[in-house]
Amino acid sequence: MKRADLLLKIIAAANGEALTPTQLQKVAFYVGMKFGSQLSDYYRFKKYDYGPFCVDVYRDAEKLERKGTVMISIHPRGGWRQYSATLAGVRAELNDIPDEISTYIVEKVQWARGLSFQELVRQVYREFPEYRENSVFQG
Amino acid sequence: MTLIIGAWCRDGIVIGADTIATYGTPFGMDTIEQEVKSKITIESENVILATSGSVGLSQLMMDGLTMHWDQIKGLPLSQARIAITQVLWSHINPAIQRARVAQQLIGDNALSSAICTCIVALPVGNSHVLLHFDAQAASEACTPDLPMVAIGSGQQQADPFLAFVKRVIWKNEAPATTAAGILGVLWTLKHVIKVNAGFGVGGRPTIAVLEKHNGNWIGEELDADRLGAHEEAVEDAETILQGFAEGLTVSRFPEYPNQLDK
Repeated sequence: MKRADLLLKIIAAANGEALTPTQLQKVAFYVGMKFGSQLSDYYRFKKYDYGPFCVDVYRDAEKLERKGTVMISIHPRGGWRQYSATLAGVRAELNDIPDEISTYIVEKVQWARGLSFQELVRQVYREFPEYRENSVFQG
Repeated sequence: MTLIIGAWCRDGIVIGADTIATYGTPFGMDTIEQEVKSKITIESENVILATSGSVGLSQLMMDGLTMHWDQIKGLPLSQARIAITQVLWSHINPAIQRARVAQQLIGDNALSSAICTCIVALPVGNSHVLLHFDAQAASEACTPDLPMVAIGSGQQQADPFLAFVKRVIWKNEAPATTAAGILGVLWTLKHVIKVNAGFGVGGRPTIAVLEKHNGNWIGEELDADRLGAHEEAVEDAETILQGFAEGLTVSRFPEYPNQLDK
């Protein structure tokens, strides 16, 4: 099971809608925390401005874009990069990913997309307070 | 025309800038705007410089600082300030002399090529300093009480917003972290770029930070990877404020018609 496949699964779980950088980072983080023992060579998250962050998530997303399975665009109002699956990405057969992980990813993406930026970051802090250290939100 | 913002934070320094350069005629007429990659320079790994005003004079000043940086680096703060002032003034003074002569011929527009201000962020000993050099190369250091500075044509729009950011987001003191500093500087830049009218501020916000990594001060310009979450945070903060305001739009006195609708 390659980490890039998991990342594609996360992005594709939004069904063609775009994930924000924070949604992408935090869902990838949750997957690592939940299934870390089953994943080799998974992303290593550091404490950053808004909690756990791993720059390799973006590098892998860029590789997926070059393969044609992910589209990276600029949010028209906010200016941040957003990540969505192309048709090829949505249709990609990711058979190596166990059902348990696939189901978790779909649920977690849906959950993250239903939260505001602040709600998502604060929820991560509630569950993993050790990642709060370098954060903007100290309160 | 430009907007440069600096924020002294407890653990480092944040400097932000817009990316629009304005062309103009010698007679003071602005012609075109062009986007530049960045207005922020990082020197010797941990000195961040940004200028506003005459581009030509700014280039000479930056070249001068680059040439002398090895001598300035490592000086105590008071001596470093004097040394930087001397380097800057060695370029500003001749420009002012030339402008005075040219002023007689082409009027006050001649002065524009002699006016340049700059912001310098640098480590001094174990600490960090944010200096602002005015058009006469006189320096002022930001302090925990007065942690932010804006220069350039966008200053008059940035200052009131920075005051709001300082009071509300930074709790009326210096930002505790560069992360909080980035949020405030980015929000201000985005606001001014959005509402700017005729001040020559535009393009994208760019941000550089001076931070300590493994005991060493490092200056770096932030890429989209790190800025992305801050861009989201700004949008979210504005959405929250809009939500708060929505509660105020329902009239408590619906029986009174709005006089303006008549």
